[in-house]
Amino acid sequence: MLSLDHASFGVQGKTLLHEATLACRPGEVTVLLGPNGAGKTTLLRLLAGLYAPTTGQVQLDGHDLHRLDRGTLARARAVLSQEIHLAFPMTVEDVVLMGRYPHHGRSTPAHDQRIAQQALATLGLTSFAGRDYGTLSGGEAQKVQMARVLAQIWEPPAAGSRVLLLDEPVASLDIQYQHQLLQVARQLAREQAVVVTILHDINLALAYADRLVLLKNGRIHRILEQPAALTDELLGEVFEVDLRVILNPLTGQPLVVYAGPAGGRNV
Amino acid sequence: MKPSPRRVRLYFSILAVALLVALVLSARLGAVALTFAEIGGFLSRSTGSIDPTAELHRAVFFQIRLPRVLLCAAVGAALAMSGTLMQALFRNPIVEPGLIGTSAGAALGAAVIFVLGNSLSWANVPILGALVLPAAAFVGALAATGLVYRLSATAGRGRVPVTSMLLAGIAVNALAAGGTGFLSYIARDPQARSITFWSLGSFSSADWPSLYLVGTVTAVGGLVALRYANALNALQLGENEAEYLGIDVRRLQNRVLLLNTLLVAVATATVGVIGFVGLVVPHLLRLLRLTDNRTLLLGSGLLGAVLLVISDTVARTIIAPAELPIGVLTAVVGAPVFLWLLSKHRIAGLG
Repeated sequence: MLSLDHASFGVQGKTLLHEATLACRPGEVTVLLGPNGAGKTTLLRLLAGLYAPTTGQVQLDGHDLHRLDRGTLARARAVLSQEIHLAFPMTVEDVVLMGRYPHHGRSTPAHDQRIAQQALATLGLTSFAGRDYGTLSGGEAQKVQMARVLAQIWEPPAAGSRVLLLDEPVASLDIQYQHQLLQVARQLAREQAVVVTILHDINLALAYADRLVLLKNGRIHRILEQPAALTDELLGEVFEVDLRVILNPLTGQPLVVYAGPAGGRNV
Repeated sequence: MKPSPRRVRLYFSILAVALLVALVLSARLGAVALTFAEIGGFLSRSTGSIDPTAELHRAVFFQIRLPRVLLCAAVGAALAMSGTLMQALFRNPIVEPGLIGTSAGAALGAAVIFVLGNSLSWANVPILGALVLPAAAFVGALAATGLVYRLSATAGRGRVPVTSMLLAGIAVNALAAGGTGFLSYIARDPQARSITFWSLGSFSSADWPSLYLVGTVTAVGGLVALRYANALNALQLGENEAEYLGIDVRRLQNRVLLLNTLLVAVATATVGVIGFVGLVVPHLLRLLRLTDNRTLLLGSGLLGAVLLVISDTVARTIIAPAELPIGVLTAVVGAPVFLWLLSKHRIAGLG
């Protein structure tokens, strides 16, 4: 269990996240949704232990995240950020192997190598192993980083939860790979990992979320335990445009469509 | 394609052999030319002969040549390794060890001694007098680097803001260069000449104590640097990503900066400012498609040593009996090599 308890975070007197309380459970995909500047990335970085909350607490399985040893945390929790560029050339395989750095001394090089290959295979990147990372397209690079992150938490830690945090993981991917990557995340949740992801595409969020966390102006606006409970009104409040939830005629699932600026009835 | 481990071992064997050959050739050449047989004799037998020529050659070898070639190797290794460290730390291919003020500060410290030295009585005290110049250079190096660090370090979240550091480095470099320029201007001609020569580096004052100092710092520093290799690899992903992999980025930055400052300050305080080695050597190794910081650090230690031993040999033989300042040579040879790399678009990390 990864939880925020009245956690706030600010820099230079500006509060980016106010009093957030949220419990992310193993086995669930929690999706953070909200407009730009709503505090999604700040919340994710608090969950990652990158930021220490200015007030409140962040805990993993009841332990204060900042009291945890860096290595222990790194063996249990992996984070995928957006658009990672390398200053110097490096092969795809070496990038993925970096995910195994926290395990050095506890794992063998051969074992790390095997995990790196399996992580690459999971994302359909086996043939990319020897490629220079710098020559990849944005989407390919993102998938390689996902493989690195998977390699980091390939095996569940000796004790406690395994955590996967994703910051807009599919922004640079085409639709096929958006689903591929999110299915991998989904699978990890099935294996009892805590999965938290920021998504911009509301329909992808609806398709993969077990819980939806709506953020606005640096606060958690609403937590929906049932994503299907998302309403036009709630979407309008959060995004300030006119969004409608309709039923997808093919699947019968909720589908969000854009209907114009907030309050506008320009149809 | 990345070289296989076998191929990497081959590169290292070639570099090691090249270093050995360069050391022996360099020890042979000079105002007094020694034969291989003589050198072999010196190294294998501890007692000398009674023949005065042989005794002279023996003295030249042990008192002048050997400490000098070994000091060249140590300084070359130190500068090249710190270049690799700095490029990895700043995630930037145009960074070189002097960027954060270390060498410019050392030059200013040395210039102060050159100008004030004669008026200070302790400069004439034996041993202590010989230490004043390197000590002042070392203090200057640390002061300039410390200033860059203090100027760029902000309260913030405690990490070293590397971009601010680059900018502060440029400013402090300019400040130190201005100070050195001013001292050269007010200096009398011989003093000004000393400042100029020192700014171009020279191994002519090499002796065993300076070799022990630089050799120890380089060897220990190099071993410590290797421990940071993985962390520096991870840093290529970005500072946050390195944190997510369990690395204390702030501590890494502080330690690598301190390590780099010690390596460059000790080397520069001993032999003066030698440019370009630290910038070019890591790039030459990247041409061999070496990417891991462990192999880059080891390789730059070896290649830096080879290049500086060769450079010094050329510097002291090309216009013998005079000696060309080695900094002239590393710049005159190093710059075109670097430009050639640029023109071929073979600088890794530049668009």
